[in-house]
Amino acid sequence: MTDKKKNILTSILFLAFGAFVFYEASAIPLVMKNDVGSAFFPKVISGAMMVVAVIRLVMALREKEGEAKASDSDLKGGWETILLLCVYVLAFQPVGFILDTIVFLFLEMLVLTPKEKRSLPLLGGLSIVVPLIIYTLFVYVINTPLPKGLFGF
Amino acid sequence: MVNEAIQMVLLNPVCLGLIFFGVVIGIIFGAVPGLSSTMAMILFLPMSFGMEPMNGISLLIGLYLGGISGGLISAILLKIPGTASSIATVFDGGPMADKGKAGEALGVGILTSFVGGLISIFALMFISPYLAKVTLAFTSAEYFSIAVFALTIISSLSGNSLINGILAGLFGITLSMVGIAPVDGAIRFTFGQSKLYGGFDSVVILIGLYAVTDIIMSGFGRKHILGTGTKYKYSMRGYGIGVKEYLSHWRNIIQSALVGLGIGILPGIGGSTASLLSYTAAKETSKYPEKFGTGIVDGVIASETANNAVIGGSLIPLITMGIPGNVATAVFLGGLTIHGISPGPLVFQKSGEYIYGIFIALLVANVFMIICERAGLRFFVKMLDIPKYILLPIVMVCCVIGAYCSNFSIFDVWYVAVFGLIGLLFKVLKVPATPMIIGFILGSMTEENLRQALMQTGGDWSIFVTRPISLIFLIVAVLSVAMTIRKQLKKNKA
Repeated sequence: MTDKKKNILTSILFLAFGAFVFYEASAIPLVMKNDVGSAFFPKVISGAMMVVAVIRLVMALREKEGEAKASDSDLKGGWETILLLCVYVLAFQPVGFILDTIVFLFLEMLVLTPKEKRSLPLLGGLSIVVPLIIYTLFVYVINTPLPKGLFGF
Repeated sequence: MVNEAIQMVLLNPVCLGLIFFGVVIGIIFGAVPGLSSTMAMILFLPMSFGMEPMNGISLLIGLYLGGISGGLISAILLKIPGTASSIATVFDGGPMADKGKAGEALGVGILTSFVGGLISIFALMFISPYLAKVTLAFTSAEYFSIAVFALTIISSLSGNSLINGILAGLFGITLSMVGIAPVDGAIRFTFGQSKLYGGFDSVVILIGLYAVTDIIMSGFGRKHILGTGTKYKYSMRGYGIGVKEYLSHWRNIIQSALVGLGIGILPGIGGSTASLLSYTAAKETSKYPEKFGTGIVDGVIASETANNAVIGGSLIPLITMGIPGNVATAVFLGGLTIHGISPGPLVFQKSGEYIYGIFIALLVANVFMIICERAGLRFFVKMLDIPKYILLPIVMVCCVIGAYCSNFSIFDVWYVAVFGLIGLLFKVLKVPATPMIIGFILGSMTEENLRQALMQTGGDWSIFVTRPISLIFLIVAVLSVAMTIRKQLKKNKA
């Protein structure tokens, strides 16, 4: 994506968000007589956001279209990380900390480790040992419970 | 109060141990590129909640100070700044390493970090009590104007795109409005979710934006995860420089410390700018500017003195007015408020022992830093070898635990992922994240003071311009916005 397209997208996103907040704020009732009310500040801020977003849009439209830089980012690695993170946080409570973390650590290390450095025993070992250490530290040393999940651990 | 503070910090082995631990972990996070000192503070913040107030705060202080100092190790040995604050250290530290003087650069860097930190801590100790007395006279009108001032400065100074910074700041303010409103307690933007009544937790937003986002980014950049370049070898004796020779740089040292201190006090600018600005200033005032960049000690002194001087400076507005100027102090604010210490003009009366405790802890941390970083240099350099593909997934787990432990709510765990993704979107669109977090923190302060001031005057807006201090801050705010627009227009023409 060129910088120009990015800037246009930015303006549209903030414009839409500002409009949404402004609309939602209109529904907030005025409770106290002497007060500007709880709707006032949200309206000012979302109004400002819309104005600035429009300025951003005008500026972006006047920019010259640059060349899209060839990006060397690894889309597969990025999306796999995002997917693993989402699954990890959603399963955190139902599956329980230890099991969930073992699976996440192992898969995420696999995603990030370059092929030539992949040593399954090392990554597997770490994925099991680290959650156990963290769990012990939190639950037994600083008395902070972590989700137990399905199997009671 | 000073006696109590000494008892809580100096005579308390647990507290001293935590400062030591904080400094060591901070140096590691500061030194390893890809981990940042802010990340260290954010990860340990939830843990500090469960500790005795002074112990928790001292841990954060150790992490803050160690983190800023640790960046110089990789700046010199890898030519990559370990934290953004050490950017300018690379300019002369790198060439020094090329010439085989890596040891000297490291030694001077550590020594001058200590001196810069020390000067700023003393400035903090002497300025803040007086400033607190001045701010005692502030009413809601002044606080509103200061918050507006801080917000405009932060938005306009962060990152390359000024207008994106303003948008990010406004977005942060919007997030602060979720939940129960100040003054009348109206419930807004909760969409029927009772979990949102209390609003978002700043810890969760911080972890998402400053840790989770970075780790997702490393997934996109996994081709480079092994790092490039080689590690320079170093050998050193003492701190690599004689006392006399070091002191001969006194002009540079004092100038850089003042630059760092000033930048620290101003909201939103932060360590990386301090290091760059002080490097430029040292170069311009030097008798031999042409030698800068070729590997002279002067460059390292300028950068490393300034970035550590930011620490004391940034705590001045935080302690006296409750205004965090950068992400590190925003984290620190979270650590203070959870223990019932609310920074502001009355903080010396209400929680004086803790504030003096903070001063002492800073001094102790600074001493630990200069000893540890030198004595443990070999160990810290080894840490640079830990592969990031192992480290980052573990840090991600710590992020999730941190979010969970801040409220023991699974919702916060989900939000941390959501804010991580928002941070990613911001990164892709080149919208800076710092204005968002500062906007979030200052948003509720702005609204509350605005509404209180207007209630007192019966809705008369002139109060903001008839009170002199309030007026001054508003004028500066308007000026900074005007300058922002002018700069942007100029840039567009070019």
